[in-house]
Amino acid sequence: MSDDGEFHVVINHEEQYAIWPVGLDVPAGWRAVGPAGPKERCLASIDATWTDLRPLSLRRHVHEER
Amino acid sequence: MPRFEPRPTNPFPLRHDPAARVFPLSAGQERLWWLRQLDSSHDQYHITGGWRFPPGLEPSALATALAGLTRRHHVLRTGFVLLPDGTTAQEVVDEVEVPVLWAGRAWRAAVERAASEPFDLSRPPLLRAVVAELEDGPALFVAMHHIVTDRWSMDVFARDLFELYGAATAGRAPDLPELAVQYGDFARWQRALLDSGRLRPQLEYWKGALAGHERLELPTDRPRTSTSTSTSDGGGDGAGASVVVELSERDTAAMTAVGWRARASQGVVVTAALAATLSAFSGQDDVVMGAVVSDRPRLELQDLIGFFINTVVLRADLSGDGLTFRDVVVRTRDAWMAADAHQDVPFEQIVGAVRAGTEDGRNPIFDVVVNHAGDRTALAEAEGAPEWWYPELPVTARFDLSLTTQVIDGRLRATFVYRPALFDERTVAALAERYVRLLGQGAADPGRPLRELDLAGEAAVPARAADPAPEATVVELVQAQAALRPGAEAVVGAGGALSYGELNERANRLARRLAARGVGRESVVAVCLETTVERFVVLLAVAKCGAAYFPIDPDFPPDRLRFMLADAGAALTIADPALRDRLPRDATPLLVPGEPDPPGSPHPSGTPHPSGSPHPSGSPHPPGEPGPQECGDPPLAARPDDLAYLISTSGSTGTPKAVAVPHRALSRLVAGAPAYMDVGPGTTFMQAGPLTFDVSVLEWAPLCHGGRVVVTGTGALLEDLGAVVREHGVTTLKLVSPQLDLLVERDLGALAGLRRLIVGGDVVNPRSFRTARERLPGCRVTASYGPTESTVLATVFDGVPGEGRVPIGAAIPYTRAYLLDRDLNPAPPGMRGEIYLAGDGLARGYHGRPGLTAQAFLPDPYGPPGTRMYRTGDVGRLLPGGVIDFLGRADRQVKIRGYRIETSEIEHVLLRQPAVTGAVVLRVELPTGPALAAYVTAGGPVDEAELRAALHAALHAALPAYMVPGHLVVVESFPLTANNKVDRAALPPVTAAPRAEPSGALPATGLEARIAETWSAVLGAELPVTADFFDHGGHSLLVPRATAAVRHLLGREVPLRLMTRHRTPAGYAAALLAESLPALAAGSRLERRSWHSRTLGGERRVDLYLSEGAGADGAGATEPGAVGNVLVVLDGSEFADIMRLPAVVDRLVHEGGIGPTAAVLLSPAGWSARRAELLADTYPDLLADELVPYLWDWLGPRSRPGRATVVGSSLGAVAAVRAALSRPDRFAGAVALSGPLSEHRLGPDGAAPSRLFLYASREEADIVLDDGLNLVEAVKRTGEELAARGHAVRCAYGDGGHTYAAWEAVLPEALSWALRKDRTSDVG
Repeated sequence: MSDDGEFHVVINHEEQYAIWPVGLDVPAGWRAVGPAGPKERCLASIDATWTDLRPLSLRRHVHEER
Repeated sequence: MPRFEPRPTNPFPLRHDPAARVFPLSAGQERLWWLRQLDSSHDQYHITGGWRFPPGLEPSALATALAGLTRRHHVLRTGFVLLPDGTTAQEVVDEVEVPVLWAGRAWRAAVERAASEPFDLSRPPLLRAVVAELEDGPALFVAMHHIVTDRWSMDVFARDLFELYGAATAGRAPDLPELAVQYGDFARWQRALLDSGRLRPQLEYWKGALAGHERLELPTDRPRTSTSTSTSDGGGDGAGASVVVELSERDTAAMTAVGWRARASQGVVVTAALAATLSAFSGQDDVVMGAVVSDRPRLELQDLIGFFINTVVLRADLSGDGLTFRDVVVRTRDAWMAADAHQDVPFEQIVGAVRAGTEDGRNPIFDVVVNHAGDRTALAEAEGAPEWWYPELPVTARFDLSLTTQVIDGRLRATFVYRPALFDERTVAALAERYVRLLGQGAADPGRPLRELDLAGEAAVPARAADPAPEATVVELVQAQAALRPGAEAVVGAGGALSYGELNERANRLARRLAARGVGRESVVAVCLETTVERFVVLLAVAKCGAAYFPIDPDFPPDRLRFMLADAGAALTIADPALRDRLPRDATPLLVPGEPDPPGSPHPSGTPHPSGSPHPSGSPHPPGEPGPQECGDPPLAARPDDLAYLISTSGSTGTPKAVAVPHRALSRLVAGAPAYMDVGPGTTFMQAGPLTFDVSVLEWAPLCHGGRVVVTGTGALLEDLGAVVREHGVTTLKLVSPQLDLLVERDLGALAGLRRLIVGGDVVNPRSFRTARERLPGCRVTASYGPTESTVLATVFDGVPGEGRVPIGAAIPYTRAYLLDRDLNPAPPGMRGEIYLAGDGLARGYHGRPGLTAQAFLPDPYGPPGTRMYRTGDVGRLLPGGVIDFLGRADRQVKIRGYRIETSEIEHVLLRQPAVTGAVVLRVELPTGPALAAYVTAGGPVDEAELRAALHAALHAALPAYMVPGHLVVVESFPLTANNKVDRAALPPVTAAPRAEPSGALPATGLEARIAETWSAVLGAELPVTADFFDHGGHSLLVPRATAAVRHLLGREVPLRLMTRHRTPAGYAAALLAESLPALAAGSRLERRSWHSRTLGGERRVDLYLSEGAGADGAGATEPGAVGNVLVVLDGSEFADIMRLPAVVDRLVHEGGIGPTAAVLLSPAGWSARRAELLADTYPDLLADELVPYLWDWLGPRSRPGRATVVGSSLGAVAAVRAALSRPDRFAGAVALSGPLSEHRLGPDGAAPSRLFLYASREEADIVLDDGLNLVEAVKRTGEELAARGHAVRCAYGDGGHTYAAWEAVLPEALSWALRKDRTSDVG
């Protein structure tokens, strides 16, 4: 994967975040959120947004147990 | 569409010169001539042709036709010669006879010999023929050297030959129009343009066009060595092999149409497809290759036989997203047009201008060449054209890889010729297949992004997701084993042994204690434990609480530990008593197993704990040992997605980061383990790494399967490993590769009894791997690979490795390994790709690092929806059978001087050396620019200098020069990171002088200085003695001139190829000396010493010589009076090593010209100090009072020979005369060669007359001295003056200039005269 160029911020059903090169089809089970941009900007926005790395199902489970 | 300047027309007249017989070489011929000088034994540059003849081929008519052909085409009777000044010429002779061998039916061997036998380029004709009797009639085969022909020419050859033959048989005059010009006329015409200076802007164009270009590096199947390719010095056999693929008729038509719409020729389209394929195979988007173009720029040249092809450099930029085939065609077309417009600049000049050097064994600038032969069909297919005959011949490879395309019957045929020394057939076949797919699909859908094309074929599509791993956590699995076999040993080693039952119970108790301290799901518990069986009580207890353990190393600096603990959010640290005091006190609450909890527990997790209440359990049992009611399994807490552990790794940003691994991933490791390691009941597993290294995680596998784990110290250097293995009956051992290297060095016998050995780490030493396989019968040896992010392991290999690297193998269960290209498409087999890992083994991410996690764990396009894949940053390629070949770290790919270098390849070479146990190669930044530094560890005590020399030789033997590290550092051991990886940043910095002195170094000897001077003159720029000729604008065509100048200097033959191996003046000088050690008479003696001078200080080289007949063959002590003559020679190394003065004296003595002679040859401390030394006022006294007595001492105490004669050249001649005049007590006279005598004060005259031989070369009249006299006049004038003062003077004049050759030539006469006793002067 080239580190240059534009990336999408993508998110899956577990609310895990990742980046994906603009121009390639976003793989199934993932969707782009927010505007595309250079890698560093995408990562900064993920740093700000994805504060809990636990998968969604786990977070829910922990929440239910409480 | 960019606009290009059209190719400039040659403004000089192209005219036939009927009188001329000698012509310059064309630029292309010059290159071929040069290649041939380097490698005289091969047939790579032969062109062959064959044609069928009607039955009854008539010998006399054929002879007539061939004679007519050589009369018609002067080039067929042209030879190539090197003139004394290093330039080349082609000479046309009047008549030649073409050798024709009538081989009859047994033609095969004759044809092969004709095709392969080397031609002597100086002896025309460079053409030979074989007549063969085929099943259905006769055929003629001809082989010619490329320097006089090309492919197109072979059609001209056939047409003319058949007409001449037809005319001869019919007894008519041939119908061939007179040729307007001959090849020599063309060469001279081309040379006129080259020499006119009009091409200077073109050269500037090339400098710009190739600025910063990146060499295309295809992944080869075998390492490139200086002998695996053969376009140069000495090696390789030019052997080639080929793979042929065809495009369908429909696709061929579509391809032509795409080209037509893009205003690009067929040749451009096939080249574009090659560029895209090469880009995919190399992973580079800056694609530089060569293209062969036919270059007959004038109509008059169309009917000539000759070398009219040109190889131009094409640089296509294939960067950017969404590149379509049409884009590639357009970019290639532009590159092509630009190259075409500037093709008049000879390739060698481009090489020199862009300083691409000529790396030994490698074509400059490009390794891949494309040749579209579409344009020659016309002539060959004309009506009545002779029918071609293609006897099968061995393929020769002129380049690493070349593609020749031709449209035959509407279908494009692509022939890939490659060097089997570098590539396997399957690799080239994969490339060829992808090429055809790309061409076909690209032509069918030129507007579609390439990455959307289906180029991979079936084979490379990654396997879809395997079954999901079982979700049972290690807690459930160990508890199940405890229930099943409570009495079986689970852990043994330091601290005794624990059965499954005991382990489980103690863990249960501790778990309750931890729970009481608030440890539960989502907690992180730091652990700092000794290597004892107790550690599993702790780890299991943490897991039972649903918490994650986080191993820490007490040896870390406190600040780093504090950072790590805070960063991981550790709620508690469990530390062994012995280690607790080494931890920062304030970082987290502490729990010490076996000690009571401090007052104040329990407390909420994460809060600093004040002093407080007693232990909540109120247990009556010893502290830390709860009662039996607490021994049962607590309720299962951990879920598959809860974290099982954190492992700290060094981060590229400078702070460590923790990889967070969930239970699911650990369960996947444990569940799949039986597939590649033996972990069930009856097995005993061990690994010898600390807990902070994730290999320790493997210990869960036997515990979950009923096996036994050994946990004990093995000593810092594994010195106790053998004993441990024997004592505990270890069956399964996991080592990291440096550990195996250590054992192989020492004693692999310690591991006897192993049934399985697993070796991991990024570069498994193939020698160690093979040794282990051989020396451990009954033991399966497995290589493993896996980053922490994929939970310890990802792939394993337990097959038989081939030569070279050990593959990392195939994915372990519940794991997928992909090799993907830049567009995240699967790389076809053999093609370089980045390794991505997917499946249940993936870590959750980097603890508390969302951004880092998001860029390393990407959506997996090949897995179940919504899953991720981990980008390893490692590069590999797929071998047959789905096995992965590890090529190195993507980020360890370094670039130096435009070359992309995989440092792991260099490491591999070092590791193959017997003395080397470990190797790391780095790119280092030095004031002189980036360089490679190699660090090695040796098995035991070694002579460092010797090792360095051996490694240097081995590196040079195995690698191209640009890959040989300039710095080689032997270290005792490698500093390791927390994770047992080599800490590259902590290696000692390279500050010492590199292997040669930095450029700009001063010459050490006169020879170095003279060579640097000579080469500088050829380059037209000053070349430091340690600088690479080829990096300073030198190119191969300058080598004959530079070498000719050296030959002139030395007066003897020097092979051209010496320069391609020894590329700096210093290295070349050393090589010259090594080549020319003088052979001395048996009875004489020559000894080199280091001598300390009191007067001048410092050490100097002296050579002491004693001729035969002077007692040298005796015990060393010389009879008084036996030595008649004594010589004191200045600039001793030059007289000893280059002018071979001792051998000259030997001969004179042997022939009786002079009596037995002793000599002391003194060299200056350094070349830069020479002038000051020779001209120092104290110098004559130094010679008289220090050096001569030193010679006496050497000759023996009883020897007191007579007065000496001082010999010197150039400035040394001045010093010699001065010494003779001022110290007649010690010196009888002097031999002064080419001295600028009139420039210096020579007196004072001593009391006694001296005997002086003064010499100058007539060419030295060109050398004008400061006083206005030239050197010849200075010698004459000085001779007259000295003779007038009563000295015996002889002035002699010779030829050869200011050269060693001239001086060596005059030495016999000079010495004979100087050592004679009469006193007549001869100053004429």
